[in-house]
Amino acid sequence: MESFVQQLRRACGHVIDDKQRRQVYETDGLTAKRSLPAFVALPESISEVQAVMALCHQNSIPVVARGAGTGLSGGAMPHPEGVLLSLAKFNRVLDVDIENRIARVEPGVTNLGISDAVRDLGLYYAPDPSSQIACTIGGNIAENSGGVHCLKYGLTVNNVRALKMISPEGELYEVGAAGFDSPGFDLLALLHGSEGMLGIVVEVTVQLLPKPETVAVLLAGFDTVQKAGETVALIISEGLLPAGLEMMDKLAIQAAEDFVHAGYPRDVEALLLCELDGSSEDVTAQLGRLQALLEKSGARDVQVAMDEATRAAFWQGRKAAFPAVGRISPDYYCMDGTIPKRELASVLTEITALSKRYGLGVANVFHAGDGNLHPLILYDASDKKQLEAAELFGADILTLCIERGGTITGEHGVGIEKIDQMCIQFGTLELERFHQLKACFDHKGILNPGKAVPTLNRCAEFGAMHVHRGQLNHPELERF
Amino acid sequence: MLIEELAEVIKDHADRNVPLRIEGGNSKAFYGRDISHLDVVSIQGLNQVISYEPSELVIRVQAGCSLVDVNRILAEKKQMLAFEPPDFGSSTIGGAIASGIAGSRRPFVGAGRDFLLGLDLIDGRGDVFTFGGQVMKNVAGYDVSRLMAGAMGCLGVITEVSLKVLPRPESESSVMRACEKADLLREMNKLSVMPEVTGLAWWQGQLYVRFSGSDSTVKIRVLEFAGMSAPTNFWHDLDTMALFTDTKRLWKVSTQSMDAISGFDKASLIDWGGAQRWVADVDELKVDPPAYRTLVKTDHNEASRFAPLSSPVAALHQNLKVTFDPKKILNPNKMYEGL
Repeated sequence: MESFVQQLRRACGHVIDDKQRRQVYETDGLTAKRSLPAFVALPESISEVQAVMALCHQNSIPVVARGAGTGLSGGAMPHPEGVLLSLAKFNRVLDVDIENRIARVEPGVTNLGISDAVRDLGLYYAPDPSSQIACTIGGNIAENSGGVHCLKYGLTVNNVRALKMISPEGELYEVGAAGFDSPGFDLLALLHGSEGMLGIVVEVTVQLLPKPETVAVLLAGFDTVQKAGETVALIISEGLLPAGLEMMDKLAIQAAEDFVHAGYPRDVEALLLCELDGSSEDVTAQLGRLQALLEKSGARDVQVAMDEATRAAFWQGRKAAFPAVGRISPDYYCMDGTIPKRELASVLTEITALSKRYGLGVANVFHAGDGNLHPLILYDASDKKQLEAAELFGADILTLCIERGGTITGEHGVGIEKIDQMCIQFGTLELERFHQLKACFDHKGILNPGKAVPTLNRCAEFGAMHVHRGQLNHPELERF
Repeated sequence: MLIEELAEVIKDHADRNVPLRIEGGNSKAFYGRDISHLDVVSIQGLNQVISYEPSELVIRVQAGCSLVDVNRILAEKKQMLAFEPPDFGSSTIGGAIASGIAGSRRPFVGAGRDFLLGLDLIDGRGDVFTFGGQVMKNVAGYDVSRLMAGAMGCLGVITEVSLKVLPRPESESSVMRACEKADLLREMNKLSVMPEVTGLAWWQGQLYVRFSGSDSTVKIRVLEFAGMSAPTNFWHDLDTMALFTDTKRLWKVSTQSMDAISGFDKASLIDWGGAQRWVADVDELKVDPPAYRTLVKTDHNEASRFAPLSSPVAALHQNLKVTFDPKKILNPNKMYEGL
């Protein structure tokens, strides 16, 4: 009788089982959580993925799919008794259809790799998470990634036309179509953001956009966070639709400026970055309206970048904000709550209060246009107390986001990190339905088990009692 | 009307195994299989606006609100439903989302599913759920909301929706000029890269273009196009099939915009910059691959109006149906036999 690893080697040409090389895969971007996978498989063809899945399904072995491992919620954290399925070898752009403006790519192609492949054709792929140089399109689908341009151009789900999937049984199927519509339920949408719980992506058809003729980036400083927040609301309600609208607070501005010298003013409390794009006539018209509006709202140090080099410099500070904060603190913990924009100023005030209570600094970077907050909690992981405090601080921020009508995760996913907060955001019925929905795709529950949706027992132990339409969550369970 | 009452009606029907037809404005009964003989559960009493703050670009309304009302409320704040759901007369927002029928802006800004942020739902057991949220980015939990867009009520009764809305363009202008069908796709392809284009269709030898944007830009685009002014109701007539009032049998084919084969020869109307072709009065429309065609209108009740699903995908549909509606009492067979 062949052992499992022997069978796995027959299914897939590249299997890693020695401990030292498996350790490379024990964590993703959420480095605080680690788990050594039993095996790592690196298939290089669809038939190898099918064979691995069929084998694991037959033996009820857990499978965790992984792209580049840049995810921040532990979605790709391995299962200790399972196979870590790396899609790293699926790294080819298969076909670019210039006329129809679509590309067929393998899931291990990086986000930026798609735009790079079509740049000379005057096209690009719109969603641009900050990790775009490293993160893969397969991972983007698993998390429904956003980026700085999603206010105008949407998320991953709005820019992907079709997927080829492998079911847990190893069966190949397709959802979506190269055109706009496809028959049946919108499984394409359902698979986006499903965190590797429903199937394995093996091919992606993305839509490409023509590069805008003209792009302008405007930078504006504010004396208070409040004023910056009000200005964001004003820009939107005045009918402007920026391609990007980002905000940073003082600590983030200073860290970024020290790191990349983007030319940001240092003596302001908040900074707005606003990108306008379109035809040259339209950008000129929008820019005029935006500048008038900023003048009215008390912005300072307003600068406009029309040329590529200056625009890149302005964006560089924002895109480098995370590593910049990494330079001023041994570790940071990146949060991802989303709130209605009107709550911005008061939520930031409360985060400041929490920062004092926990004795940990916090730098705020914010996709202001769509209400997605990224507070970076500063701590030192070598101090166990600080790590605990950072986690509690983070959990408080997420609870605050839910209380203000928002969500615990805008684009990073639940993974393992925010699984307890799911008990606060959703009621028993919804959580049960999520489990049933997973079973529709994966009745044995071998794909990424234990992630994204908490069991009701876990919620009871966590003690979160989300009272939903007067019903107590999980009344059938004992309270701990 | 109370959600609880509606849920009770559904629960009661589930208990008795009696199927139901979900009705909003009853304006799209033509779409999908005829199930007019079934008991009706109506959402017409659900007509409240729950919240709307223009600076959030989000509106939350009950599903029975008419499109007329929603459009009016948004227009007052110079905003709009960017996916431009066709209004077939008395259409509701719930019906627009559930049917998934998209208007002429589809290739340029998206469909209802692209703007749906969250919803409340009563499933086939009579259980009431809240999925998604009222913020633009939300990846907590599976995206059940978007699964409901275009599911034709087969998985539940949508009672409330949150939608992303967009600013109404400062100016909009529609123009037309003669265009040979042979040159059409190339012409459309050239125009479709322009960010101001929000409608691109061909009908009776004329190429129709709609430009949206700032006043000055739209003026320039109209001059450059060098055509004639198009009737203002053209897009509405197109989207609501008013151009095909006398047609007994109407197909639509969704394909890639530059595909010169799929239904192109026989199409009398081409929309979506070439990506949607309408073929009138043809018995059987064969297109390859078959997945792309829909029989939108027919004078006899045929079993198969939508393109067939592959067997793994059909199995997933069955699993989802049984999960959300185990007794199969919600719009049964409306979309596919046995669903």
